[in-house]
Parts: sequence; structure tokens; C-alpha cells
Amino acid sequence: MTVRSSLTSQLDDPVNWVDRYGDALFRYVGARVSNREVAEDLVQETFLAAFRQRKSFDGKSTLGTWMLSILRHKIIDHYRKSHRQANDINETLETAPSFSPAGKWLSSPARWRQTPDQLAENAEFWHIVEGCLEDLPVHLAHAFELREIGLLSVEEASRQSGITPKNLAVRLHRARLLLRSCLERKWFQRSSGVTP
Amino acid sequence: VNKHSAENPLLPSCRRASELASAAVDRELTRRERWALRFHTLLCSACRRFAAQMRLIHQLFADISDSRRQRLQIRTLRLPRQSRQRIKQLLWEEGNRPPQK
Repeated sequence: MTVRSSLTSQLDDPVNWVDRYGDALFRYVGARVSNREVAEDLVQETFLAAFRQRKSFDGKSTLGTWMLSILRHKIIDHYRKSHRQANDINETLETAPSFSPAGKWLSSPARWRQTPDQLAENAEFWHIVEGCLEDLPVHLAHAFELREIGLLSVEEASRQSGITPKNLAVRLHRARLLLRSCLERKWFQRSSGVTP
Repeated sequence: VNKHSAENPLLPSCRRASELASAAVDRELTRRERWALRFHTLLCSACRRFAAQMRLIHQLFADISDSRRQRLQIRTLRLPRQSRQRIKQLLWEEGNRPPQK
């Protein structure tokens, strides 16, 4: 198969694009917008735009890189349409604040009675963890994912999400605050009777 | 210099202490930060619990099995299955649409 014909067959099989490039595009947008539905919509629009413009793909870059550049424009458009700045993920904005303006806990962390050993293999607990992670704003879930699940260093994680280590630290802090209070609400306050 | 710079660095607020407790999981704190956090948690049981919970969460995620790690990654950072199906459907329809005049 020549390069040209393999390229043509790739272009003619857009349904396969989704499995090939969907995750990479979602990860890219995940670091750049906070709303999960917006992130999914932007990926969808990117695939559709790529399909409609496929004749203009010249094969100079890879198909994945080309789609990423389309997505990048979609993200810029999104922020322009919503009359916000390109870097509108406001790092200090708290939709559900944990602290008073003076910096005191609005609701103090409670004592968790379970030890790591009791939690590590508890499938129900991890089910709750999954739910709590899915509820996070997507850019916070993304930061947490890279660092705590992907086990990347702070430097590597900030490089991958295109933000400074300092911004990453802010996102990780927010993600942990939200995850912590979600776990407390949905697990630790409910399961105290279940586990001795 | 940040918006919390008005705070006494040795008597940080709970917000600042929680930032330090989160950062302590990711990097080595400076000597000054370490003392601020230590001093604050000595007096504040809420932040003491928070710091312990940060370490607990970090440890739990560090120790999970490969299969669970993969599952978590799929749930949080992969394009969700429903989206995937919907986009495939849309692309298929787009590809099979009769040519427009």
C-alpha cells in the first residue's frame, strides 16, 4: 500500500477516527475548559469539521496533529463566543467555596475513621471515588488525573496540560478540596456504621 | 506576591495551610512553608485532619492495582462512551448524506 492510498483510506474511514484520536483530543481540551459537556461538544465539532474539510488535509502533518489544530481553533472560538478571555478558567473562582473570605473553613473536615487498609480493596469505596472524580470540573479532574492517577511529576504534568507548575498546584488544591468533601459526604459520613 | 501576601507567613489562614498541605504531597516544602504548616496544624485540628487526608488520598492512589488505575483513567480522562458513539453516528451520517447541489 502506498503512502498516498493509506492516507486516502484513513480519510475515508472517519468512524475509526473517533477510536484513534478521541481520547487525545479530549485530554487536550480537558486541560483547557472546565465544563465536561463543553469539552465533549468541542471534540464532536472537531471531528465533524475535520470530516467536512478532509479534502484540505495535505498530509504534511499527521492526521492527529491536523485535528488538534482544528480543535485549538474551536477552543478559541468557544471563548470568543462566550465573551470570555482565552484563559478564562479562573484559577481562583470557587463555585463551591471551602473557605470564608477570611480563609477559615466553612465546614471543617471531619475525622475519617477508616485506615488505608480498609479502603484500598473496597470496591464500593472506589465506586464512590469514580463518581466524585467525574463530578469535578473537567480541568480539575484532568490535573488530578495526571498527578495522582497517572503518577506524573508536577513538572511533567504541567507541561502536558500547558500550564505553569504554579497554576497546576492551584488546580490540584481545588481538585483535592472538592474530592475530599465529596468523599466525606458520600462515603465517610455514611459508612461509619458499615465498617467497624 | 499573591493575594494572601497580607497574611502573616508564620500564622497562615486555614486556606493557606490547606494549600501547603496539598503542595506537600507534590513537592518538598521550603523550610518556611514547612514551619508555617507545622505551626498551624499544631493549633488547628481541622487542618491537621485535612493534611492527614491529603496524605491518605495520595497513598491510596499510589497503591492501586494496575487494573483499577486503568479503569479510573478511562472514567475520568477518556472520551466517554456515549459521546464516542454519538460522534461515530454523526460522522457516519455525514459520510452517507446524499451530495448537496
